[in-house]
Amino acid sequence: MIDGDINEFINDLHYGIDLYVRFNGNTYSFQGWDEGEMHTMLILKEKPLPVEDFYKFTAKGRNECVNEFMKAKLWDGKTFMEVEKFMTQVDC
Amino acid sequence: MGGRGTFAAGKIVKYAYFTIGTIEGVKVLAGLNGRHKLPEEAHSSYAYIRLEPDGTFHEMRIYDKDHFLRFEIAYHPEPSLDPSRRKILHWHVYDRNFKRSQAMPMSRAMIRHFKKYLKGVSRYDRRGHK
Repeated sequence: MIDGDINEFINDLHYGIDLYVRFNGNTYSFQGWDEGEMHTMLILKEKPLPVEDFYKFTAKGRNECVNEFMKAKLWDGKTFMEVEKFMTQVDC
Repeated sequence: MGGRGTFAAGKIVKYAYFTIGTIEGVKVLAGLNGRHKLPEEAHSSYAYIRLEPDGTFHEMRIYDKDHFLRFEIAYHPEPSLDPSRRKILHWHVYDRNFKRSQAMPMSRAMIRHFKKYLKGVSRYDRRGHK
């Protein structure tokens, strides 16, 4: 990941921290939240406008949620780990 | 400023943040060395603020007396609160295990209390508040 630490990014995904990356001209926001044992991850395409839902998944526990996300082929048929080196982490 | 149990005793740790200003006495931080978020723990302050590149309020984190993150006020799209997906003021609560609540709308009382920190936030964000 450009201008970011991929290990820290993945760690933060587990906690639902607001994170932003730029990829292929789009800016995506990542966040998550807990409701009891359930954890939800939400990714929005925020820029360019309009803001659009990109990915949402709810699972029992943070690990399961992030693991499922890691399997999803969201970016041109590729997984996050296959494209993360081309992503730039940004402030917002 | 570590976070979630990171341990730096005896090691030289690079500075991760610098203060770019203050708003009503609260430090406005920017990250260094690839840091793009506010600290998970506070040392000397009870709160920190982060701004968008254009200077608009983006996020404020408030910490308890033991330096744990307790809640976060933010200004960005939250589809669960505003289906139009425009930016909306909201807040999240954190527990001591760093579990984060779903976004909640800010009450009028909260907005009154925190208004002085919400630099550049449009009035339209007041819609729907209790």
